[in-house]
Amino acid sequence: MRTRPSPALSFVLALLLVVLAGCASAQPSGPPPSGGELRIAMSAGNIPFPSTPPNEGYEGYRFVGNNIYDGLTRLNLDQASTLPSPQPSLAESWTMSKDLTTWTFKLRQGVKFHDGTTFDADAVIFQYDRLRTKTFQYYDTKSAASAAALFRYFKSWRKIDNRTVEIKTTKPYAWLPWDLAGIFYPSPSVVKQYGNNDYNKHASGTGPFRMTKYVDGEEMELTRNDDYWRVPVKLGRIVLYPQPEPASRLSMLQSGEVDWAEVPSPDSVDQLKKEGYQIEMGKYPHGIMPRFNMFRAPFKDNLVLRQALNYALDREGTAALLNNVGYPATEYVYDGNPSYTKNTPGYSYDVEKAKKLLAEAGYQPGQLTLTMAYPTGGSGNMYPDTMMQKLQADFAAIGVTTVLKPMEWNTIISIGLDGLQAKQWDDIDILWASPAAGMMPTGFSASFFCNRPGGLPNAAGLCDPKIDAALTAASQQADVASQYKYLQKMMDVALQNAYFLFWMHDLNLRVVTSNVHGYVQPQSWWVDFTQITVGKD
Amino acid sequence: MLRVAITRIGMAVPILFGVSIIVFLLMNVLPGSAEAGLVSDDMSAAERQAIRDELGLNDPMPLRYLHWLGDALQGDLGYSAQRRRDVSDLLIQAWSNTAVLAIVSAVFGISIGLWLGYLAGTRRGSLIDRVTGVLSLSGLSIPSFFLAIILLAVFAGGLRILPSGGATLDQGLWMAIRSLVLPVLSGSLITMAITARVTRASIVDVAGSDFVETLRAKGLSEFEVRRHILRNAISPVLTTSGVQIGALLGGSVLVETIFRWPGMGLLVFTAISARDLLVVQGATLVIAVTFVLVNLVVDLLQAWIDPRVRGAVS
Repeated sequence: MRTRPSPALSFVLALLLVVLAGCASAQPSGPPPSGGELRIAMSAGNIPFPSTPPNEGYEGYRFVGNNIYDGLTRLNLDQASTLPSPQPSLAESWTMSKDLTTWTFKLRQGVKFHDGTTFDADAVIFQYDRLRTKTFQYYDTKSAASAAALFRYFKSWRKIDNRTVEIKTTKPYAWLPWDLAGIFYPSPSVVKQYGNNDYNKHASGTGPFRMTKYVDGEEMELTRNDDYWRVPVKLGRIVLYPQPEPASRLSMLQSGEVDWAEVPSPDSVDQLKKEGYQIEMGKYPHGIMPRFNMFRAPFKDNLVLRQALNYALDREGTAALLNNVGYPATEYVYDGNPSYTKNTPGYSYDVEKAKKLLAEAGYQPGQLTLTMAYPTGGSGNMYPDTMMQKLQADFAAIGVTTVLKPMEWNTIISIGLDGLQAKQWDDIDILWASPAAGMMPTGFSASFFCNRPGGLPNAAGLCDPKIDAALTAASQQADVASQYKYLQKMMDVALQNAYFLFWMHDLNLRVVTSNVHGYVQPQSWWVDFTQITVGKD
Repeated sequence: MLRVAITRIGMAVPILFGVSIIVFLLMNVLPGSAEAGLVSDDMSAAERQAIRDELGLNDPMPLRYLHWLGDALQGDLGYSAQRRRDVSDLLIQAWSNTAVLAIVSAVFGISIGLWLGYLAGTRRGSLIDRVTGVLSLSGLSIPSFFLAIILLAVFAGGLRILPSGGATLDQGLWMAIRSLVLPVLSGSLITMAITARVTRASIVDVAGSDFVETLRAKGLSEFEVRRHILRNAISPVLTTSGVQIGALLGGSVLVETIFRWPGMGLLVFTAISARDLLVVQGATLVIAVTFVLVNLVVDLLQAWIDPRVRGAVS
């Protein structure tokens, strides 16, 4: 009788072969170095790639960019009491001309890239050429597109000597140090060796951690740079895992697979507290501030209607639904941000006033139907589904019907690029927005100016000469206090005119295990990992 | 048999061609844009055009498709600007991860389903038949993502006896097996349920055939009779298994997301979200080829096992 392997047996054999093949490529990371190993479940859908700049938004800067690289300036993220602002970093000092158009940066000496080569003025010029000079041999179109906003006001740059670089701007511009905090410097020799397309596999900067393992989609391992120039780095190693699903991040934390979980479900907070985890929350520059379509009716030239909707929002109720991991917004930036204005009261929850204003605006209950586009998810969007259901109920309470239009995050970003005047988006009355409101003054430009810095019209059609004047003046003050005085003025105008639906501020919820020490939750989307240690409770 | 195989592969070519055109057209009618994740919202119109040029998005649609097709025929699936990697690299990594999960899920789901279906079919009306009925109905009704989250909460978050996922093949065999348990349980439930139902139905059908009575009349033992029944009943089971394996090899977005398993499902989902056309096109091609090949293997297997099928195929 003939014998033959069963299909099931063949499958098992195939499986064993695959698993053994996987085991053959085993590359164990080894025991954690002194200072411990911090394993992080990110909310990003993938490991941010270690390019300059990285992707995955500010999560990419937080976990990858700021750890592998340095900028000429850095934000002082090692404190929680004030909004982090630009400090000397790879540039140890700088001067600027009186008209704020010529900046001279003295570079720090003795700084080495992770590959051992020296950081100097050539490396700075190399990177600017790589991101701005189309004829440059190592010009990187894709990174250039991502970094374009940071170079918006660059006119020219030159090396004066090995440790001095000069940058000229296209207009008086006091916020160059803010832009420079986001421009990172890769090792030119690594870029030249591997080319732009393969650079990410070999990323090399001057930052506090070296990239020692990178498996796209799976994990990244960052190991302490013992030669780091700024401070002795305490933390031994960081391991990053992408996990966009909150329930899975929670399980990773509870099963002991990670020590740090970004944004778990708000419902889990009380239980996690009881279990002894450290719940980190604090005010920081992040709000949900939907934008009215000001290109057309009903919001164009209808201040009363915009005010009515602002009065209709039950912000406390929304916060309660979110287990208070966010809190009501009184204006665009949070109380404590230097741009916060104390001159104009915000919008309270007042249904009667909202109804009255709605009538003044020309709408009886039941007459107005609004379409609002919002994302179904996406890092940094808080909890859109829950929040939108509450908003719909709040508007219904004053007789306004809201048609909810859920969209992918990519589509919301695309609308932000095209603008609400574009034919395919002109049915949208209100557009979801989740700005890093007030993290950097440079971040106001795209949402507040009549024309965005690149020349395109404001995506929501907001155009107020008073705002343009205040924002422009703010960016041209050498004195920081004066800059914020103008920004407060801008916030006043925005608030009085109800240019946004001032809704919620986020509290930056994250959970860490009790054996994580030395963590400071800054008023920023970014974090300083250098002084963290992981060890016994 | 070889001729059959070649014919079937030949028939697959227009299918793959059609699939690639449909996916290409669908991706182009989706709202949103491929450059959205690559640029900031305060860029200039010229900068946006430059990156669109770089991605080839300004070319007419038919030309873009022909470019892609020409390169693909030469083995070049392109470079993903969104992931900064060669598409073929991405596909190899994702497909290997999915293959491990799919093969284990298929072996587990089909074996258990076959066994349950066999027991239920040969013991109609018994307790095991009723239990199998409930199990298979539950398997078809419980969404895999729901089961996945419950399993995670209980075994990873609560009891802490299993990892919450991750393709940890580089951390040794034991860790690999442990990290496979929960995703396999979640992913194979439907396969198990379908296999059990089809096997039971097929066995019940065959068991009522005249030849079974003849075998019994000849004096064959009940074990021998059941062996004959199973062999005759296996054909529909193989067909559904082929479809199931094909689906598993296509990857499951939900299971892969929840268990941090970077396979084909997750790759396609993130690529669609980012409007990463080259990755979506490449992945679709790989999934379609996998489906065609798996079904070809199943057809050949059927022909090998069942002479009646062999005649029909030839």
